[in-house]
Amino acid sequence: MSSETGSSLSTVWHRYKQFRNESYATPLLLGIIFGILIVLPALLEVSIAGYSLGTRVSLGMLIVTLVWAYTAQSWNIMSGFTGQFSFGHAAFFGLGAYGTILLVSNYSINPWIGMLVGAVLAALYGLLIGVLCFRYDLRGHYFALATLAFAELLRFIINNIGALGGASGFIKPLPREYADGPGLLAFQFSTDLPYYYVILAFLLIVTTVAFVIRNSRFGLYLFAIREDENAAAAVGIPTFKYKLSAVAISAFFTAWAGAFWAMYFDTIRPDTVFDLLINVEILLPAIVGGLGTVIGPILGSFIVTPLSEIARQSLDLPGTDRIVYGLLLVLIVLYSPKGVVSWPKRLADLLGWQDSPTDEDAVDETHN
Amino acid sequence: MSTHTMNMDPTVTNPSSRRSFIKYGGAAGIVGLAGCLTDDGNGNGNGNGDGNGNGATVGDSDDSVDTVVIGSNHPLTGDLSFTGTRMDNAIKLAAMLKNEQGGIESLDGAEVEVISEDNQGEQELGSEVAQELVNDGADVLTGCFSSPVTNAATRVAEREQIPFVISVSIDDDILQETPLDYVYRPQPSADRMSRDHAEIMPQVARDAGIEVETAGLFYIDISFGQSVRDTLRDALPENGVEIVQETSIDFGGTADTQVTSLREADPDVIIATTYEAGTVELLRAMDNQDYRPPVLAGCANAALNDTGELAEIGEIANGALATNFGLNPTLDETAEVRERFSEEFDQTMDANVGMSYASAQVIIAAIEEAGSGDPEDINNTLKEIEVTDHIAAMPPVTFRDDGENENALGVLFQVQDLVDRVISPEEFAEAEPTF
Amino acid sequence: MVSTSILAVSSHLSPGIVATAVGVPLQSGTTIVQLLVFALLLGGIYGLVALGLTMIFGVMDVINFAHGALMVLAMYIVWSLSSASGLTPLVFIPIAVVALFGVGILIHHFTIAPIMEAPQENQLIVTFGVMLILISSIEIAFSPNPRSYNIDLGSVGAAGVFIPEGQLYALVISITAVIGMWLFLQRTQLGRAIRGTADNRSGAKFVGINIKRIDYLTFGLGAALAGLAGAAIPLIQRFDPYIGDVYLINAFVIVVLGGLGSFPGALLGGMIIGFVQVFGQFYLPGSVYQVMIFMIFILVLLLRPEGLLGGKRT
Repeated sequence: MSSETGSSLSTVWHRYKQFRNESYATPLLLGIIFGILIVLPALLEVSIAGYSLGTRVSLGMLIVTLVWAYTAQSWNIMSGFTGQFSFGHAAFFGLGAYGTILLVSNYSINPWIGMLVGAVLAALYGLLIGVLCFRYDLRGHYFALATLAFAELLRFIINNIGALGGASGFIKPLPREYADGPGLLAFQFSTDLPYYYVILAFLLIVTTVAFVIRNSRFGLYLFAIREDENAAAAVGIPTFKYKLSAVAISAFFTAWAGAFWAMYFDTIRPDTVFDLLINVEILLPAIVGGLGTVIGPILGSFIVTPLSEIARQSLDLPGTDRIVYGLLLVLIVLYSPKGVVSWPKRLADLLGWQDSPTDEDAVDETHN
Repeated sequence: MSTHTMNMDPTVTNPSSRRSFIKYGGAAGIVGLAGCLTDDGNGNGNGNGDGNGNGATVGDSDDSVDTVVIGSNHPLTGDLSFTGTRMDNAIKLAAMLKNEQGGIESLDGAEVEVISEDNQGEQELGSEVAQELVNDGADVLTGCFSSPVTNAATRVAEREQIPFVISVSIDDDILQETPLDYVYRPQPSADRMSRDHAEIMPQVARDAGIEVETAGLFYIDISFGQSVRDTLRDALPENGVEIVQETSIDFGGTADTQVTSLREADPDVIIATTYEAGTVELLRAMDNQDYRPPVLAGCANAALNDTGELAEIGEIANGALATNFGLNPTLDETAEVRERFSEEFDQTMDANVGMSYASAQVIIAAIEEAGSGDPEDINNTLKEIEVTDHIAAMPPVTFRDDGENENALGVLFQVQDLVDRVISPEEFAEAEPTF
Repeated sequence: MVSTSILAVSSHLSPGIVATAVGVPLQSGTTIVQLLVFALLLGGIYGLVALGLTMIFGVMDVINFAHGALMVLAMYIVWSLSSASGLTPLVFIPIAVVALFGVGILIHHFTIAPIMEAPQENQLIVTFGVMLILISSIEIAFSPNPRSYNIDLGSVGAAGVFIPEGQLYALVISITAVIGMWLFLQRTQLGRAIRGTADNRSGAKFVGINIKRIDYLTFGLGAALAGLAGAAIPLIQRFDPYIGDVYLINAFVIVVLGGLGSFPGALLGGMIIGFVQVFGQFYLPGSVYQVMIFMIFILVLLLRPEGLLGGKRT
């Protein structure tokens, strides 16, 4: 039922569809995305017809976007691939932040080492959560609420322990107190641009990890667990072990974002890094982008964060931006339950470019 | 009102200042209805994006400056916005009054314009908003109430080399951990106020023949409450007061159990350190349990300095001794500003709001003394300035190398007939303590 | 408990405080009775707050993030009507409940019903979006300034034990609501249909229950109960647009403690949290009681995930 006018576009779509079925498609798309991200800061400066992107989009906002893309990618390994929906990733985020800043503040230990310590702590905490929840077979909402409880628990413990900074938390020390000065080694810079590339590098690393996992036997098992855990166990997949691995990997990487947050924003407190909202911000891009996909979390973050920023900047009455943001969330989930990655296919469906119903499965974007 | 000490030609008036007043007045009328609209008529609405909405601000340093822009970065939504919106209004009022009096004299009557944006109390927006205000032409910045937000915002000011005068932000670390060249704080730190409170409050009570040997602390269990608590733990025993009970309230909580534990410990004085709601709940619960300590006190307590809140709390608040930064009651100007504030915005001023007004006065004085709208000039002036004409209850504001106000001071108030009256130190006192 | 011992060491308490806060052998009888009274009253309020959440959670398996926002909406409805008319806020509480039922139906129709079959996380995001919309709208309409009902409530006391009237009213409302809902669910055809749906959705469909209609009703009732709780909160404290958050997390905890969909369970869960909070605030420093609450929550989740009064797990 292709229309006459749509036929050439329809051809493009079919080409694209073929392309998406190639094994090199996802890495190529990721390559393009990262290519754009590498030059993006420079593009902010370019002015076309007196209008430059930089007036609307700031580097700081891009950095925050990348932070949430990164955390969503990390979260996705556990919750998107394996189906264990975590609503408490702020626990890992906060452990990363605290590990980093506590060690550098109190013992002048380099923040990169602190970050790894925080990441290991987060992985261990993730294992603890996993062992308890999986042993007692918590699933669905029960699991989500349990993870939330573990995150809130950390918030209140730290809030009440003076030696861990109490409610006041920590402020990062000056670079000269533990290193030669600002720079990569100190994890502190005097401008935003290096921070951008650090978080972009993080995103590249975690995306590579996610991609490798997704295309490995390990990833296959994770998806089998997501689809039907009992069936997976029945065919001999050690589901407990695999779920735990996914949690630990996810927690380990999420902690990096906390470390980055601490170094970029200078100050951490229990009510900033373990905030309830952090749990939501971590998972939102993955859901909006496409759960369980590798491209989804990145696309999702580049929709969610800039949308809220643009709404905030263009609406004068304080508070209206949150209304618009809330509406957009609702609309995106209602009309795009499979995420942004499914949009090309949905567009094709809408314009009637699909040849036959069997086509549907041929290019289900959500599986890329 | 003359906001600076330099000798300028008083005959200079600017025809545009009246228009400006109308502009502000009209916007302020909306505020009475909707709470937080004021900036939209003249703020980010036309300044947004290309930064040339306020064309006059572009040529900062040349002679034809006719507007100097203050960027106000406060929580206008979210759970800090009850105070945040009022702080933002105080900044606007300071500019409005200056403009009514002919604007910046040393700049031939240039207007002071305030552009406001909402940081929602969020750390990541602190820096975003600061950047936007700079892009929109702010020559000097102020904010942000929440300390982590202020911290993020001051880094932008530092990077952009735009002076930042903190309206209110209590965390000592903001200035004391990092050397900053463009950041100033007129208000006293939590540490300083707590030490003053521990020393002066018991003394005032003892002078009146009331025994103060034991204290119960009631604090909000967040950063600000804990830091005041920690200082009081040190400072009260040094002044012969033993802490016999500590109890905390959470954001949005009630105080029934806490009052029972205080009642049980029966201290001579209860010191409350909370946001406004916490103290309202404390006194409600005391009322319900028919309990009141011999001395009720507050340290860095906003509610006991807010006549609006005091009216709502009622009788039981009378006699309370509170240490906080506040406004100087010995000046006529203070009463005028308070009255004007409630006229324009239909709101009352608490200590945070009053301090924000004084901070804006410091900014305006610096612009006046610099005789320039150029951020660099304003910054250099701030380093040297001694601001005498401000309505805060403290000596002239002058900044140390680290940006802290050398003469920062908290004063002791007593609630009398549901009005907060300064009773110490003597130079600012308006009333005698009564018990 | 591990965390308290850390605390005792780290919080620089002078010996005097430790003695008063922890080491006193026994509080006077009056104080204990007073604390019991407060625990009961607070528990009643927490139970009330959890009712609407447990309804929607138990029947529809949806975590309603907008629950706190619905409570706040009800507060402002009662406050506005009362301020405008000058009448006592108490008479407007039923109106707010009915209004919230309508709001719940609308929210369900436009946001939840279309994605009932979608993965759970989608419903979570949607209700989160609804929460943002509601709270920001209220913020803009009413300003962030704190409000209170125009009603003068004192306390009744005997022998040194006091009962604040506001808390007492809230407890009465809570118990009435629990009994009313329980009767509705046990004794009416519709109530039985709701319970049947909660137990087994597909089974309910087979025996001819119109699941879609039940979902509408459930979400409407859940919102109405949120409205009832919200309208009652200002009897005990001041409110602003953000107060819903304060109660939301506790409500999640209570729902799981009591058992999904169980109204007596919600009340019991509320009581447990009320007791832990009141005695924890009295005997433990700072907000350590919150640590206790989440530890109890995790323990119950692990050991008895169906909740204390829940039936079999779904």
